[in-house]
Amino acid sequence: MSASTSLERPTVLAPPGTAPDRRRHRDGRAGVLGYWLVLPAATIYAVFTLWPIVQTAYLSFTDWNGLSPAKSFVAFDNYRELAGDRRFFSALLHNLEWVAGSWLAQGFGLLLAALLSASWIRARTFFRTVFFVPATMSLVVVGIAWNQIYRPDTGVLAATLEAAGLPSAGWLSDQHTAMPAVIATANWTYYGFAMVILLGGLQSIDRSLYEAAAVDGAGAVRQFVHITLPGIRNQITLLVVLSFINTLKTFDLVYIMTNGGPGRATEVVAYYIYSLAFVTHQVGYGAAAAVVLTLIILAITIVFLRLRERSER
Amino acid sequence: MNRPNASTRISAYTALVVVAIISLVPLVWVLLQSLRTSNATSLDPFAFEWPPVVRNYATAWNQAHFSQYLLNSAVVAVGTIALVLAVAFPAAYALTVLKLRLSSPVFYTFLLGLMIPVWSVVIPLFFQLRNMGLINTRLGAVLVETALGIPFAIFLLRASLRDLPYELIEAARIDGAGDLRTLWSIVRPLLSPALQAVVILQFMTSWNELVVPLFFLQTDDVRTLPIGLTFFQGRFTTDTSVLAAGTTLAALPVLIIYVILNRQFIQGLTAGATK
Repeated sequence: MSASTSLERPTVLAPPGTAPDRRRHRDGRAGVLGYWLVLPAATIYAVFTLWPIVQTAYLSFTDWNGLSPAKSFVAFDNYRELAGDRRFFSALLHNLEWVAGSWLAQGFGLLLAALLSASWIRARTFFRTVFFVPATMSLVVVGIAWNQIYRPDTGVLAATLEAAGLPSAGWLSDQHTAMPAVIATANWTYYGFAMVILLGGLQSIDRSLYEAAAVDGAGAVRQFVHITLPGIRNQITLLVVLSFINTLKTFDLVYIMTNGGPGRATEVVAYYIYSLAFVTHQVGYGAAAAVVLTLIILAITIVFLRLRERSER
Repeated sequence: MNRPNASTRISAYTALVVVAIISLVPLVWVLLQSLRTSNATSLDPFAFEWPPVVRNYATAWNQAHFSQYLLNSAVVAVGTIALVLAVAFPAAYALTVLKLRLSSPVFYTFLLGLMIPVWSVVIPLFFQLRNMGLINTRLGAVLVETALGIPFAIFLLRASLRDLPYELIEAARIDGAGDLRTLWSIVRPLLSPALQAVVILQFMTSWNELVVPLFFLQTDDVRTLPIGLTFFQGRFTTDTSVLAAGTTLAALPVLIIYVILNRQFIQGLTAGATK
């Protein structure tokens, strides 16, 4: 809550003699009002996000089961244990498989967007609307629907494979197919989303650039590399950053579809944190894993944003 | 880039139709399954059945407290949307237009929230909400979801506020309008596309949210639809038709809203992506 109190501090008046910047608001009364306008959002954000993060960081230095009143301070023990925790790294690896899978879906989304942005395509809005339907669905609905599709007895996938004379696997109960099956479900909700974002970028590219390039004799590939890709650079960066942020956080589908199993074949970091803190009551250790996950996401985001800034110069 | 030959066009449309089928078939199949009996489905997952069995919907609706879950989902979503708008809009205005001295650090502190996984707040929040008496209350879920939604709302609104013609705000000031008056009568209407985008995206996030209700809404009278559906899955694993009916019921509200407002959904997303 320290963050919200620091916001209440009134603005320092501009030193006398400085020329008033047209865009900078006059300090004083209006400045104080400005802070009052920020205060409600800052308070809610501080109480329900910032302060809990500080608490999580603190808990990560304790050995606590979430029940007993005493929390014993263990310094970096949890982090040391985490560094040698195979289960944690295996979960992290599953997250990375998930990231790689999401790039396939993004590539697919780019193909769809390129196809839909062709000037001669009709019913563009119809296709865009349909492709985005899976992205609007709750992941609980998606997970349950796909659980039914993957079922060996009544599932439509097994029946299709059987009809084609192929072996119908119990997709979610096999160690080797469970993770790809869950990732495929995630990607089913994702290609439409990627397509919508990329299509927005493609449609904002100035058509005359292509005409000029064609006059200069550039073929389709060169046009794509020199006009299309730079034109949607922002959208690509956004999707890549988002795919890291969101897939590292992912939880819903694993919770609904497999509970991390069979064995631990589909366990991701978020699910591991959940089972540590809320199933086996290792709250301190779970908090340490949460802190590490946050740091990884922060580091990846910062690296991408830096790279993007550099490429813009 | 003009009209390509017929075979190119045919293969392009074929590809689009195939992807459209992939996008819809899983949902259509669940819908069809919900209109049959579980036994019939296990005999032949493909077949249709006539007349359709509507009984599954009655079972799902009556046994699964769907009306209660629907109400809870609506209350939490509407409450979150209202609160996010009420606090994020003034904050974004102050941070962007009023150019406060602390604008930049405060804005980046908010932005940090975009990267924070719910997992690094959920453990202490559980104990905090319990101490505040907000556990298993819809208000508690609204406050947490609002806190999680504020960063993106401020980010989106700031992008649009920066494009606002500053002369209009200046003119309003010269005419004697105070800051609050300017905020409400000049800026709010000008910003309505961005505000709509916030409403749509926040609705989608809140309506589909699993983790927050999983931890903070644990009694049946406050459970939201997704979390109710997970319990439903556990109870009806063998009765696949009733499960399919429940799944369809849960998917319908958001699908209906999407079909009505799909233009706004898409514009909201693209606005977030380009700025």
